[in-house]
Amino acid sequence: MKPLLTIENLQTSFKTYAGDVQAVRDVNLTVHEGEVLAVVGESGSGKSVTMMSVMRLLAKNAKIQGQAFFNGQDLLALSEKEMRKIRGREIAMVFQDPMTGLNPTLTIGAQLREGIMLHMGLSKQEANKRAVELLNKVGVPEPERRLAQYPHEFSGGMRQRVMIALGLACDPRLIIADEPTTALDVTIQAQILELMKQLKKEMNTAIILITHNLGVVAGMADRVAVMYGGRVCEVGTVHQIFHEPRHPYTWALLRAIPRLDEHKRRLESIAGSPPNMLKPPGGCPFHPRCAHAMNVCTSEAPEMTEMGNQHRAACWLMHPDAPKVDFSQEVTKA
Amino acid sequence: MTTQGAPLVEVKDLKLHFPITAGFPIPRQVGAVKAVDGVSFSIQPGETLGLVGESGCGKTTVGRTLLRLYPPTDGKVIYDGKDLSTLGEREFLPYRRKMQMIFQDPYASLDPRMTAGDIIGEAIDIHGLSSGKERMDRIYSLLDLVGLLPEHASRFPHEFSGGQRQRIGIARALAVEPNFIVCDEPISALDVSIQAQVVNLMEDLQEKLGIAYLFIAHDLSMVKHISRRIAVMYLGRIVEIADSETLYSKPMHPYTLALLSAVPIPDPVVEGQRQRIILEGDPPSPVNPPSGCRFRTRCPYAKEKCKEEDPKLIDVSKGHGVACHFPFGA
Repeated sequence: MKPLLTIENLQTSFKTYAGDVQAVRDVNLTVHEGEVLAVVGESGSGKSVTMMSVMRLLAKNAKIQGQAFFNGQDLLALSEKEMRKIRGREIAMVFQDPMTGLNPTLTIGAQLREGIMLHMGLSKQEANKRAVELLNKVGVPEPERRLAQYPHEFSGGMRQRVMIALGLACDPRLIIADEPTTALDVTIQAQILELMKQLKKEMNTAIILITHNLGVVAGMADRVAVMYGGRVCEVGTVHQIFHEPRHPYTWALLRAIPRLDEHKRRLESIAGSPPNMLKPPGGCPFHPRCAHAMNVCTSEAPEMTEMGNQHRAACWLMHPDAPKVDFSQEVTKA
Repeated sequence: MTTQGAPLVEVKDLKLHFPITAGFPIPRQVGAVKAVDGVSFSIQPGETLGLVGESGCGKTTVGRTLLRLYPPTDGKVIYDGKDLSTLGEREFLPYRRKMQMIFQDPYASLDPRMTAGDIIGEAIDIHGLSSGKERMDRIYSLLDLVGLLPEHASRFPHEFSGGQRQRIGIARALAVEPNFIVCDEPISALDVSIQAQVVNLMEDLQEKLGIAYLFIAHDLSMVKHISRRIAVMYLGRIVEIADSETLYSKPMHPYTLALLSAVPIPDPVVEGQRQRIILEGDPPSPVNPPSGCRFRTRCPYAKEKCKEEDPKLIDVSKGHGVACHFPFGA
């Protein structure tokens, strides 16, 4: 598979009165054509900021360094005018909150037409036709009538469908979906995920799915990147991450959630709280909460180590001199 | 229901209709949002009953009405054999001490201008439980109980993380030594790693103090984990109630089945093989619920009878109640 978007050494920090918040610290990620990459992590781990940096949607106090190659172009070096041709046309975003992601003062039709007319150069009538097609595709009933309605006339699930239709409007090659189902009920979530799977199959669009719900990841993703403290700590195929995880944070994450299909057991909580990104801990960001932390973890950040088959983890346990940990044991505990 | 002994809390045919008014200058009632429309269940001392359902199904309203944060439209709440619905506000106060609540949003449910110690101490003062040094000792021991430090008593809510704030919320509920706590989505605003901490704390406290919980949540995996029994709500009614293992292994209501099948399981192999029942559309409005069975508009198995007759919650086996004309496996 050909890489579609390659993020290299991305660093993003925000200037605030309290100091620089180092939200993203040296992130490397690749999305291939037609694949679903899930980015998981807790709030504040930098998963959304990574994607917003690539799309250049952050406020002025953000300082972004690094490269993001899309189609051979470095998105971070483009002018604002060139970038506008990419947003919505080549890379589209679907935001988390269907209640605030749409403009309440414009009809759904006007919002759908805007991008279509701008990027595809269609007339208003043609754009309307396309908008109807899109709403049909995402399963909004009576699309002709719905086009003239405002967001408040839609339910949460329907609004999220409209958001997805907006994302699809110009046949983008990559959709970045930031927690697209977090605000929805499970039954509606199932509808939306089913829809996204189907659309991906039909149109071969690559999807970056940002989420903290590991259940959603297991059902949707081809590959998974786990983020913690502004860094990627493990990346691999969905099977590698769920069945052969190598990073202690991934183990802890899998053990902390209950599963519907298992009997009651005590949840293993992760002691402590996520790091303060104003002053992230030195070395590996996870070391203050890690059960396997060693001296070296407190001072040196671990490099990404390749375990073969594109499975990589940033942990000192991967070092040849590290104490041996029975990985299969850690996985079955989860 | 595994009824050994008398239940601690019993709810009988509870109804709460929020009035819809229209007209100016003299508003008239033109309709009602039937948020809770005939809900009955009971909770044993020291057990956890889970209450699940989609947003808008009335699960939070059940919890709040139970504690009389809303005056019920109809129905009874019986605590330890005493019917609370006939009591006046003053007579109700001692019972409020026995029944407490933990709220969903740890950011909005603590007064930002009060210290953690004052937040916990307020309930102690209202009920006149202790004062002076004894009161402070009590606050310190409560903080210790929920895994916080004595020096945290003088800090303000903004100085705490989400998980710590929820611990303060729990300490506040525990301050008056309740026997029953309504937990309204106590963990949904927290991160995964912190959720496990809070759930474990709640389980430990239950074991230590023998408190009964009504655990309201939409995360079915978590509800199944913490509850002994689970009630599933849809549009103001309980559609199925059973102990948690039975509900998962032998669901009988089509809505329960759909709900369970919609919950993603964190295992790619299991997910790849699962058959989902995708429900069409959204839940109907509780202002004008459908005739007959309320779930029939989205039910893949609805028949003519479902339109005409409202199914009652009937015990199909011991402790397993279903409100459906055509339950599975019956």
